[in-house]
Amino acid sequence: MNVWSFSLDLLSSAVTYALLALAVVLAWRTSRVLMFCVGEIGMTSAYVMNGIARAAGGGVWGFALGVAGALVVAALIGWLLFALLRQLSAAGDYFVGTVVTIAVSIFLTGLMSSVWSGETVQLPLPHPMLAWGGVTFSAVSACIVVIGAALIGVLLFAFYQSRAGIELQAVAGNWTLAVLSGIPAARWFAAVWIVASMLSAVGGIFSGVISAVSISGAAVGFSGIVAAIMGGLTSPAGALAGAFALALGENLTSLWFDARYSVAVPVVLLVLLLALRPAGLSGRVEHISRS
Amino acid sequence: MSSLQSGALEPHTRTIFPRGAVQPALLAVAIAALGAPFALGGYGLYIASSGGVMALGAMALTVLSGSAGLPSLGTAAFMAIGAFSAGILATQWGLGMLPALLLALVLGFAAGAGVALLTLRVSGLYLAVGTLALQHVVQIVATDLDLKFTYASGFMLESPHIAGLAIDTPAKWWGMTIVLLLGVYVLFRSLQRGHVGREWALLRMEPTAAATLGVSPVRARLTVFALTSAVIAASGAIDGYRLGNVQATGYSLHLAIMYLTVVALGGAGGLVGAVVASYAIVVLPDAIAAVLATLGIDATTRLAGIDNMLLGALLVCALLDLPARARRVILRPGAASAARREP
Amino acid sequence: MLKEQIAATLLGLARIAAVAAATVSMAQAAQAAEAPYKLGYLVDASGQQSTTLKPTFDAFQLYIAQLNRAGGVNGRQVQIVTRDIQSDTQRSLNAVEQLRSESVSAVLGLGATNTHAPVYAAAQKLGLPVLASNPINIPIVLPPVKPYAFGLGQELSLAGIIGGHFAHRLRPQGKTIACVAFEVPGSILSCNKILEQAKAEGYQRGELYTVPISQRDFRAVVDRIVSLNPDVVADCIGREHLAALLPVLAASAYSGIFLSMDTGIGDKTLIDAVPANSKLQVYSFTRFVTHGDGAGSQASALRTALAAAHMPDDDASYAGGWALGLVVTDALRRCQGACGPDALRAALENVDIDSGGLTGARLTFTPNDHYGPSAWRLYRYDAAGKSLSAVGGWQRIASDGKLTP
Repeated sequence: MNVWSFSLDLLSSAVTYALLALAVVLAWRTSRVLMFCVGEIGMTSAYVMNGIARAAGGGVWGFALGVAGALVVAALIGWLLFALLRQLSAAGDYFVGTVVTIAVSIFLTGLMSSVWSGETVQLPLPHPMLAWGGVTFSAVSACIVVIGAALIGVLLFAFYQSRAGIELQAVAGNWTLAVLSGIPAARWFAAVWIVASMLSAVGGIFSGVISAVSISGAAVGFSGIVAAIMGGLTSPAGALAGAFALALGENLTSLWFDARYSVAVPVVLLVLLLALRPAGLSGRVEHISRS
Repeated sequence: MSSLQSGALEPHTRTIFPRGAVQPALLAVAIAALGAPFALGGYGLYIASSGGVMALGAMALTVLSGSAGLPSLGTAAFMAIGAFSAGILATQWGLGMLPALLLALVLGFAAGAGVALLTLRVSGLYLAVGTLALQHVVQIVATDLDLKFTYASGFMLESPHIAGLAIDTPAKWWGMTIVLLLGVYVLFRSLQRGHVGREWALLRMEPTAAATLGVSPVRARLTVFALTSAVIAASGAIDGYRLGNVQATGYSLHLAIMYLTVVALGGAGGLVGAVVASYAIVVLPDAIAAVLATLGIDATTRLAGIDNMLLGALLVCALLDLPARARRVILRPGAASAARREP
Repeated sequence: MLKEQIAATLLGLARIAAVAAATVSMAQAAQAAEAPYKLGYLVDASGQQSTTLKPTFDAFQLYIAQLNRAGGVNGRQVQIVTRDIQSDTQRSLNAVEQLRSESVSAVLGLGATNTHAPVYAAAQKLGLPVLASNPINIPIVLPPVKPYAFGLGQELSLAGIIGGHFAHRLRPQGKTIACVAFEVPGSILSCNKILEQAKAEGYQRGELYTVPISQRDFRAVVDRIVSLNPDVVADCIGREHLAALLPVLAASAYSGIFLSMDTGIGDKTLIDAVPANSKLQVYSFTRFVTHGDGAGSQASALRTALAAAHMPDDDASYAGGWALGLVVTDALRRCQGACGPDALRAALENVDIDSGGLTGARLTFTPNDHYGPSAWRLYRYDAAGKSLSAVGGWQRIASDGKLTP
């Protein structure tokens, strides 16, 4: 076991969690809804990708077609979420919105059972080990890190620097004001849900590549939600931090103690940290009312 | 401050039971509802008790998330605490359900207070993190206890005894469930309508005003969280006796999410809604399966996952009140699109 | 004249009435005789565990269909009332209550560990015998006997003992063994048994790696396995976990033996997960035959039925389901009267039949042992040829855990 290989695996986990956490944060910031269905969207997309890739005969083109198909399906699910959740008024019940995403996850579980029988599927990808500078590491992990980092970079740039991102932040901050300023708020609302679903799809595909595609693989979504909450649900940068912290905590716990505690330790440590540092991870107290 | 005059505080000025002509009608409905299961035989009584025991925890959770506005993923963990207390007391020390309930209340209160103390000073959101941490810790401890004491078969619980009376028939279980439901309902109703409940509601809607009035947010939230956790733990002990078997795999995050679904269905803060939604969740999967069976789709066909799809769709319809919205769209299309343009 | 006419008419009417009465009572008797035996089956037809648990049910259905086509048992058809429970406790208990109201004589199925115990607790109160089938049974089915609990699958603690024994058989000089379990009491119990037995037979060090149930990323666990470098890596995990673990293990630096416990894994999972050039040696052990193995009348009948249903012979659970059919048939044959739950329970307590090649021991229940002796087989997976072949003979074990030669 070498440090480079371990670090690369760690980074690929972090990237996968980060994509899911970004989806959760995007949804939360615009609509105060906790997107419980990220894992199920991810696995459904992975199943779609697998189906299309195999039908197209495998190979690079089949794979590309599969990914495109998966993203289209994810966008459709995102649009469906938008259509359902726009019914809730802005001052309305976010809790209901969260449970609507839970209901959608139940729906998708049934869909995966009906269409693909919930079969455990190995994605048709090779898993070569590369050697570079005397160190062996997994090519798959490397690809995931590169592609995922690029995607995250693009997203962060769009969110913080581009006009689209700033308008989105405006919509998230104050809907009425944004509408009065001439920002097409509803369109951004839809875009957010579609982008969040597509991010979940990529995260799910990455997870399927690292392990395998199955209905129970949707549990990776929960890691994404935990990572988002660990980062404070306030910003995409927070989501990244949370994802990295979670991946680090899980892998180190598996390495030094017991994989059994790998999910519990990061969350428990966070709670203890919060007990010592009540201002929270972001460190900034924004306003008196805490909720 | 206008939000203070919205509906949330009004009910608190009435007494626990509504007055007037509504009361006899409600009483009649209540009696009919209570008596109905007897007419449905063993299966009906069983469903009645299942829904009722679930409603105990659901009522506590709806008070937590509705009245106090705090999210919690810890329902399964607290139920596990209560259930395992019952299991260990019964198999190791031969103690029955009443000692188990007491222990469950104490342990649930302590665990709830502990989690709240650790996280509530930060924000309500981090309370969710705290409950998640509790869930993981309880799962690990429960697995070890299950393995050590029961050889992976779970604690087997005999029929409970209350003051010498054995609750060993479905009818007696339903009777006990009714008593428990009424007790928990009265408890939470009186809390909600009392000054404690008004404090919680004020805290949720206008935290600044509450702070100026001297309401300590941390203390109030800690109280409600510890109290509801105690009740959820006690409901876990009762549920353990109802199932007759307590094992670690029964208290997963999935169970906590199911309770959140029940609370959302019933309307956060609504006690009666929580009871109705509990029954809906208990009955719905079987109802869907029965409907599908008449269409020829059952466990033996490939399309067996359709029942989950239908369940998800029905939940969405119920949560978003889609039938009412559809009616509005059909009857008044202009008004509906205007409403959509509003935030 | 009129009197004779009336008398003749009355006589004729009486004859018609007699014939009608006789016909009606014959029809009633025939109906009672034709009233089918009713058995309930709880299975995961959808949801996360369906791929693990449904194959047993599919094969059982094939057997019952064949049985009914041949006339049923004692002239009566066998009706299986199926419920999809998705490993959900509430649904399982609802189903048990429903089945009772539909007057079934027994509850079959329940391959998942978390549903068996509560269902048994409920069925016990209702007086319904529960016959847990393949692939996984929990220790409830072992002696000391619980009156309504029977098991015909792979009981976890016995499977563990067998696993430890096979590990020693594969590496008699082995010193270190590792076992991968997931965070469920049954799985951890089974792995502990594997490690215990291996150490009792000569291994010196046993390491248990437990992963959370939702774990799909096994790279950290594989890193630890590689640094431990045990002689044998065993496991007690599910299909999705194995599908995630094996590719990573096969691609790693570890080149020892992987011993898979067939907890409803299926041959295809191994075939898909292990690349052709893997230096990892993969073995699997199971109670029932798979992949064309097994010689006997019932094994052949199973293969014929699978072929007719266009199902490949690639899962030991099929043989497990067929064996369930055999046991149920034998019990029904000796079941007294209308065959209510208690009569069926009494009949189940005296099952003693030949398995016809499905496993290496007879299928036996006694009043003191509702699991009986079982036999297990070791298979070697040939990655290049993508096939499984049997290694050595059947290993028998009694339900008290003693290995018998």
